[in-house]
Amino acid sequence: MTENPRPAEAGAPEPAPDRFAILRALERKVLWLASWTIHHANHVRPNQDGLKVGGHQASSASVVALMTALYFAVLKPEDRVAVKPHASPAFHAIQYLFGRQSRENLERFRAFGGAQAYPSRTKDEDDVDFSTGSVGLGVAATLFGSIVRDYLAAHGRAPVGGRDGRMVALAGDAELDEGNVFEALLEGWKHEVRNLWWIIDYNRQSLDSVVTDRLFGRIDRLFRNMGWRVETLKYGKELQRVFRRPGGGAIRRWIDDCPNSLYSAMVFKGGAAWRGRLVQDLGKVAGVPAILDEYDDEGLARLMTNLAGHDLEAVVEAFEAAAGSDEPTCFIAYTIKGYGLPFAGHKDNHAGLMSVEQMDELRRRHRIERGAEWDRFAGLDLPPEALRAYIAGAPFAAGRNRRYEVPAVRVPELRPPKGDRLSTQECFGRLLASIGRARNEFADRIVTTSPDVTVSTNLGGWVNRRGVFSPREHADTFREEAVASFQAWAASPRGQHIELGIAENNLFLLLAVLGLADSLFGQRLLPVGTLYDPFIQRGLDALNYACYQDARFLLVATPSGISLAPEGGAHQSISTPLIGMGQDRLATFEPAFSDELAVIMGWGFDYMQRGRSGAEGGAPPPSPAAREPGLPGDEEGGSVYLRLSTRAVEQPARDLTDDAARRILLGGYWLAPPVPGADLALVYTGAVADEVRAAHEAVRTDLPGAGVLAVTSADRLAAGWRAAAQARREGDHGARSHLESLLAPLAPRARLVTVTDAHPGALDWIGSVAGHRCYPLGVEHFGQSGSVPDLYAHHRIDLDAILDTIAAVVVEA
Amino acid sequence: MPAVRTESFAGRVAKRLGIDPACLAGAGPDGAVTLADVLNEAGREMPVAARRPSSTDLAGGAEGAGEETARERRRLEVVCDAAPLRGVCDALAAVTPEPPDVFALVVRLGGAALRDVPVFPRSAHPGEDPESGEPDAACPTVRAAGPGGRTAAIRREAHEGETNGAGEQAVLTFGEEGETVHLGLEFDTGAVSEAVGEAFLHRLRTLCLDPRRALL
Repeated sequence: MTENPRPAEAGAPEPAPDRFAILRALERKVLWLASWTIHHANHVRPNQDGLKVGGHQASSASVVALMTALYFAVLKPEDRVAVKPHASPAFHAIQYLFGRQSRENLERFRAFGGAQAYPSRTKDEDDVDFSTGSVGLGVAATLFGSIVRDYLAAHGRAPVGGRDGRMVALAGDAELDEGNVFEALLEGWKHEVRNLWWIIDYNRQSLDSVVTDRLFGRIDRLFRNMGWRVETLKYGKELQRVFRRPGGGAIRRWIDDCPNSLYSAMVFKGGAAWRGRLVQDLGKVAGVPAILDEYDDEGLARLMTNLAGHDLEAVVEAFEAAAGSDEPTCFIAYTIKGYGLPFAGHKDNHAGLMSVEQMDELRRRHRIERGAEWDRFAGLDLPPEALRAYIAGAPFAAGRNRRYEVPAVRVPELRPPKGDRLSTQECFGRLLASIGRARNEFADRIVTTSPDVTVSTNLGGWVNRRGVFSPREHADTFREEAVASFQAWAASPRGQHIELGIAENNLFLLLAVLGLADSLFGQRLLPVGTLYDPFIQRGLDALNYACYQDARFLLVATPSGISLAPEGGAHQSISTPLIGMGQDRLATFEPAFSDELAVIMGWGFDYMQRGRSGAEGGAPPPSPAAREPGLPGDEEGGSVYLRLSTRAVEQPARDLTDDAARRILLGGYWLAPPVPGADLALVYTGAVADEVRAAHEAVRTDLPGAGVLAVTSADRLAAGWRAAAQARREGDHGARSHLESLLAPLAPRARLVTVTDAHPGALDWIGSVAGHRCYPLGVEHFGQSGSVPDLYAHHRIDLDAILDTIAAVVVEA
Repeated sequence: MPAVRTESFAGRVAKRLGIDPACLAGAGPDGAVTLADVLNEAGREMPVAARRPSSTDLAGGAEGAGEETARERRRLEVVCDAAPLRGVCDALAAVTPEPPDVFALVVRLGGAALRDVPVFPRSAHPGEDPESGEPDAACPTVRAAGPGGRTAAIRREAHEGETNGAGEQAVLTFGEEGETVHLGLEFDTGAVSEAVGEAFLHRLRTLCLDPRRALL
């Protein structure tokens, strides 16, 4: 960073500051505000618990020039940005200068309700496009943002701002170690992503140390292989001038050959160390001594650290040159971690904090008076009005409201598929295929995606009707060659299914952006993603990421449990219901029957749209499910997870009433109600319905008053129970949850036999609601292949095990 | 359901109690050993779950139902072809005690939205109390509602052969031939047992009302 320009001499006419003078002033201010925000949180604000607050001053400092160039010179309102997590203070500082972040929030950086440690769409008040924090995910999300923008444009749903909006990721170099980045790159190549920039903050330091030498070469080749253009921003303008002089080539070669660790050490040690090392290595090279003699130590340090990533002119020039093309572009921007701060270059600086003394020195250099630390323009030599005018006129400032609200789409009543024995997976496929036949707004807004399990999760019927999405037309070769197939795989820009390679991180990241299309791009989409249930765990961080951003989607996980049987032990899922219960902003269901699934899906599509539906164009008639009273907080909406099965179960002959549908959505109902005061009830969820009903039938003669409680959503039963308990604690003594009402007919000493094709912990907590002793049956061990009868017997969830358990209950009671 | 039958439930309990079922004289059909036989032999009491649900359970008056149960409103619903309500009332009377604690009978045509109507007095023209002309909410009366303004109230006495205030026999039919009619019975207390539901359905069948499904 250049030093503060000298003030204009008194009496001389003051020229209008040029663009780069203003940008350099703003760069200075961003560095100060980011550093001060962290310092304030760590050294000024009272510390309540004695724990270090932290804040990553060094990581913020390395991207100040890049972010200043982006936000104050290059970005347009329709662009969407993922900022590397550790640059959060710099991001908040820029938002503060735009007037979109408050001083109060900066003063509460990392404190409750204040500016977040990592940019957050849901927790921050300023203009975060993509949350970041789990490194690598935000970067990849921008790639999927590019795909979603192209999808919308191809379907005649032009995003607000048109097609030219760019997706931008500002990534740390160590972030590229995350595997999901490379999974995404392959997918991006397949989908011919455009208008996508990844700017790599190549400071060559990771959290623990200095990164491997010459990594940039690998990065360069990698991106070129994926069809990206690569722009390497290595040398600043001043170094470039020196390189053109006699001896300059030797200095350039010295820098190019310098190991990352040595370069970082020299940066930290400063001008005298640079001089000593250069004299030692290049002192006899013609021209070099003359160059070195022209600089004092401070100037020499400034020269040797004049990397392009800190040179605003070089950065803006590169960005503006790339802006004329829609090619995906990777900028490898050389930077120094901690640039402009006293611990610049030190390998331990990642979590380092400036001391009070170091901060005072920085204050002196930035000419900030005490009490003026939060002043937006203090210590700068340019007139505040000129800076204000420049900021107000920056392209990015034109879009004050960059989040959109669009009307909800009415969800029609979904009619359950009929059949004596059906699996929930088959019902899902038939329901979606039925939706696909309709010509209505609801069907047109649905977009499905799957990581190479489209057919095996029963999406085939939908895809046959709605087609595969591709930026270009691709014929269905098998069809053209008259090879019979159930699957039509013609791809076109009109398709409504986005086929992914088999990478679950990509699925969840795509769902994250599809599920934010209303807010990001002003176009409502209803995303449905399918995968095998066990592989939720493979993409779990990305799923959490999607939910954390409040993306809205329907996640259909099938097959599940051990009921997939011969398919193999390695595809079994045990703990996913617990994940569903623990995952914020995700309502989890495990229906057993076709009619339950139809009710849940209908409700789910409505629930996905709640809480952020604008009334533009007039509110549509409410969806049938919207009439149902639900849990506290249901009006806020969220995503929905359906744990389904390939195991067919006998379907009850019934037509659901509104009240029955309401109970299904609240999480459960008595399939067979208990006699009042009953001391036994069977509780089950999902694919074990047949076993439980058979057990109930087997004891019917002896225990006709025993109840059978069908749990359609342990997640929502638990949520309702906790909400009622909270309401009672807050004085609403009449508050009662659905589950408490369901269990009320049972005797206080009643026993519950719970059965699930999952970890028994998914249901056994129900025993604590009213103090009923619980006999949990479920699956605790992973990976044994076999038939359903063999596995159910092995894991003790078969009819025999249930009857034995009931017998034990009777004996022990 | 799985075709595999396991050993009897009573036998499983006997085994756990160390009793040989073969030594018991079974009280069940064909001398089969029941749970009661086993527990009696062991000197144990029968579980409450061994009690058959009764119409009292339906009304919520059973011991042990508790205060919480009394707050519950349950619904039993059947789907009929166009239904004469007179027959429904008959069926209802056959499965509920006198006076029945039926809270409401609601009728929906073709799955249309249900609209409640006020509770009507038991002995006046529908909608009026003979004394005050006001609805009598305390009277446990059957009520009915259909879409499109086709609402009617049925005095509970109607099924006993009385006439309504207009001198008409209160036999009403909702819906057209072949039209699906949902009949819902709401109970303000107690659990609706499956046995009572089945009895109700059976009763409807004897009245040739062709109920197709029942849902608790």
